[in-house]
Formats: sequence, C-alpha cells, structure tokens
Amino acid sequence: MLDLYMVLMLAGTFALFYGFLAWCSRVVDETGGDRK
Amino acid sequence: MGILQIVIVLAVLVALVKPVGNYVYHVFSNEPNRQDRIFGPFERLIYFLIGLKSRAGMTWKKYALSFLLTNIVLVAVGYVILRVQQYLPLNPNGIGNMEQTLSFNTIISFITNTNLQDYSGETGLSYFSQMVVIMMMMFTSAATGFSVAIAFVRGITSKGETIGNFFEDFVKAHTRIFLPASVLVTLLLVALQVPQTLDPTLTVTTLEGAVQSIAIGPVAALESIKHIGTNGGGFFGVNSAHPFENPSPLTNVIEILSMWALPASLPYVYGRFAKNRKQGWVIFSAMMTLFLLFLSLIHFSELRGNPAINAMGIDASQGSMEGKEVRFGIPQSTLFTAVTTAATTGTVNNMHDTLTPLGGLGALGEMMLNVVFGGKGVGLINMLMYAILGVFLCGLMVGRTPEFLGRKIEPREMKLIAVAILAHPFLILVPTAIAFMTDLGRGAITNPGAHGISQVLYQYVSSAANNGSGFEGLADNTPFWNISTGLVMLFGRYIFMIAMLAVAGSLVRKQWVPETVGTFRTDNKLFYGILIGTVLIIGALTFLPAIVLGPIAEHLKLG
Repeated sequence: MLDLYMVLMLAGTFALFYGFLAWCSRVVDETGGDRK
Repeated sequence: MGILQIVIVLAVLVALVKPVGNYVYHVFSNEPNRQDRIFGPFERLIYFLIGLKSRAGMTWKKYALSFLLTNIVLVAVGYVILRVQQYLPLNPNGIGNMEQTLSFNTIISFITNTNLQDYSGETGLSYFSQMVVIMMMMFTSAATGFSVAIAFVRGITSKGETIGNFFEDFVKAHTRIFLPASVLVTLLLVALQVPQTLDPTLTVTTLEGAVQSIAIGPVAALESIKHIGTNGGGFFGVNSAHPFENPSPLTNVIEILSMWALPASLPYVYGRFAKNRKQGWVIFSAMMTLFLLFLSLIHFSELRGNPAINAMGIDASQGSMEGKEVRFGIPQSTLFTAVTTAATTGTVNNMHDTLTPLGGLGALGEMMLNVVFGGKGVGLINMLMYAILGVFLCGLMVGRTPEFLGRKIEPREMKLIAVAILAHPFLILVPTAIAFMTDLGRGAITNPGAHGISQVLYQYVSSAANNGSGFEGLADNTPFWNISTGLVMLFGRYIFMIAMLAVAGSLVRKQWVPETVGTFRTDNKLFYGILIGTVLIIGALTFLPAIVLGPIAEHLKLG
C-alpha cells in the first residue's frame, strides 16, 4: 500500500511540473513586446 | 604550507578552464570537428538503438518535455529495482529490499543530482543497485543538467525558434564528456589504491583475534562519476572520508578537480557561444570571487579552532580537527568542503556537522546562493539568471529598457526569473519551519539549541540546492524526512529548470537590438561588481534571519 502512495506522489509531482510548464508557456506567449 | 596547497589546486583549476571549456564548446556547438571522427559512429549506433530519426532543433517546450519524460522513465525503473533488489543478481552480501519511503527519497535524490543519502551504501544497496541505479543516475542526472544549461545558453545567445535537440545533447554529454572522463579518473583512482571489485565483503581476523567485516566493491568506478557528475553520493556511508574512497592527499586533489573543472569551465563555454569571451570571464570572475570569500571563511574558522575545546587546554595548533581526517589536515578538508558545497556535489571528506559554526555557515552560504560555480550546468544558469536580474535592476535605475546580449528584457522574462529565484528560499524556509513545528521534525534533532536549527536548515538547503551533503547528526532516515526532503529536491530541480528553459525560449525568438553608446555593457568590471552585489543582496534578504538563528547564534554562544 505504501508503494502505491509513493508512486502516486511521484506521479502527482511530475503532473504538477507539467502544469507549471503549461503556465510558463502561457507567460512566454503573452502578447506585447518586440516579438517578430 | 596549508595555503600553498590551496593555491596550487586553484592554479591548476584556472589552467584547466580554457582547454576544458574549448572541448565542451566543440561538443555542443554542433559544428563539424575532429571529435566526430572518434565518437560519431558510436553515437549514430545509439541514435539508431533509441529510434532517434531526426536530430532537428526543439522549441523550449519540446526540450523541457523531453528531459522531463526521460527523467520520469528513469525514476520508474530505478524505484522498482530498489524495491526488489534482494531478488536480483550481484547481491553477494544478501542485502534486502529498500524500504518504500527510503526508495522514494533515494530515487529522487539521484535523479535530481542531489545524492542525499539517508542510507549507508555498504549495508543498504546490492552491487546491482549500486551500478544499475546509482551509477547510471549519476551519469544521466549530470548529463541532463549539462544539456539544459547548454540549451539555455543557446537560447540567450542565438536567434531562431529552437534551442537544440535534447536527445542529441543528452547522448553527447555521455559519450564525449562523462564516459571518457570517468574511465580516465577510474583508472587513476585504481592506480592509487581505490578498490574496484565484485567480491563480497571481506571477513578478517585482527591481530587481537577479533573478527571484522571490511566492505569492498566497485568503488573506483562510482567514485569517478560521483565527482565528475557533481553527484556526491558515496559508496560508503562516510563518503570520501573513507580510506577506500579517498586514500591519500593526491586522490583528494584529483577528486576536488574532478568535481570542479566542468562547472568552472562552463562560463568560458558561455563566452564562446556569446562570441564574446569577456562575457564568460566576467561570470567566472564573479563565481571565483564569491568562492574565495566563502573558502576564506571556512578555512580560517577551522584553522582558529573551536574556542570551547581550546579553553580546555587541548592542543589547538592544528586547528579544529574534530570530524576531520588526519591524512588531509585542515587545508585539504576546508578546500574540499568549500568546493563540494560550491559545485553542489555534496561529497564530503570530513564531518560537516562538526565544522565550527562559521565554517558551517560558509558551507551553508554557498548552497543558499547556489551560484558559486554550482552543479552540472545549473550553477551557470543560476548566475546568468542573476545577470539578467542585475541588468533589469540597472535598467530600472536609469529609466531605460533593459537589454541582455542584444535582447530586450521584458515583464514575461522577469516573471519567470522571479519565480525561479523565489522558489529556492521558499523550498528551504517553509519546510524548515514545518520541521520545527512538528514532533516528527524535531525528533530528528540530536543537538538542541542553535546547532539543532543549523542541522535542520542545512538538510533543506542541501536538498533544495541539489547538493546532498548533510549535518549528519540529524536522524533523518524516517518517513517524514525521506518524503519532505524528497519533495524539496524534486521541486528545487525541476521548477527552476523549466522556468529557465522558458526564459531561453522567450529570448531566442526576440529581435536583436543593435548596440549603441547607451547600451549597458555586461562584459566589464562594473557589471562584475553589480553581479556580485545582486547575488549577495538577494541572498542576504532571503536567508539572513535564518542564519542568525542558526550558525551565527551558535558562534556567539561559543565566545
């Protein structure tokens, strides 16, 4: 059972990183600035 | 004589920067060069085996996803192996499966290049786990950090949409840097009496008739990548203080240079990518200045000795030798401590928990700033992050849009940099406070008072900086510490890397701004001063209250 908790915690954390990556992507694509 | 030893090692390091930097630049510049003839066929075979058909450049998002997914697969495989190691081959000592929360901590520790070890290698891991999980991750975590750093440098120094191909960078980092260097250092260490064997633990009878077990194993191979990859996780529990890991002052110097040469050469690599080597030397000089500051603090604190012990009439002429190896003495111990916490390796040749309060503060300070050369790749990214912040602050002061390497720095980049800068103290100070508020956290403190605060603070600083050394008096092999430090290591590594790749992705697409007389230069002495000032001010603003409660309070109590 503890194995399941550990695996879920790892999976959840990496899912959070994916969410953070998506947020960063939104920030980078904000309008304005001198983009070509 | 002690200072002379340190000066000689520093001189060798500085002499290595340019040749190593040139070599690394040619590895990742993707321009045809002589290396291709040697490594090309081997690499093409690897590309074929992993099914890499196109080595086209990736956008920052694809690059980040590629390194994230690669790391997820490695974590999954490693966790399973640690949990079933007793059923796998190469386990002559009959070591059992690793406990769940300890496996969680260990696998995170090695995938993040931290190597915080809440277990003792000789009793906690089979030879199979040492080689297939630990050593494998020592290569892959270092190669990941290196690849991300190079991608970041490409992003801020080139134009287009892409920042390189992660899989190509990852393979090249292995084949052209870490594997050849590890083979070379392994052979050197074997020649200098470091064991390399698959024989089980020796059982011997001592002269007094007692029976003693002496752990051995494939030590030299692990020892080389442990340092070259700024990993730091030892084969034995006492790490490089063990005579089988680090038998002599000569092996000590080899280990210091192994963990220092690549991080120290990266600013030069950056200068070559920027087509302005002065840019690289400014970054290197700032790192070296900060390093010498912390080295002096550690060295002279240890040389002065512990006032409480000195007051007992014990001979203090050698300095504070508590927890240190006589074969290294003060200079080789303090230099090792300064380098291992600067390059965020985390390997130790002396007991950091017994450093004098100010010596411990020096080690803590380097990890808190996380820019004093830093680990594989991340130190350079960190310092460049502060460089962009410094340019931004100067731009605000003169009312001019800040520019860095010909690109305007705008709110979106600063938003990402602010997240990356603030994540580090947040990941240290919040868990430290939680540990003090809970019985689970306080229960691990073995040294109440100010030093207990330092013990807990050091554990989270080391985890967030992906260093891995510890004030090992802390009784940290419990579910609370395994899980909390595991999460801090993960967030400390990936939040920062993703945010900085996003900054690179944002800058690489921008139009170049022609340089004018009004452009703020980042390759001169003024910027060198601004960069150091920015790092120290941010560091002091975030960490000063914590270090006052820990090492400084302890120092004042000692008198």
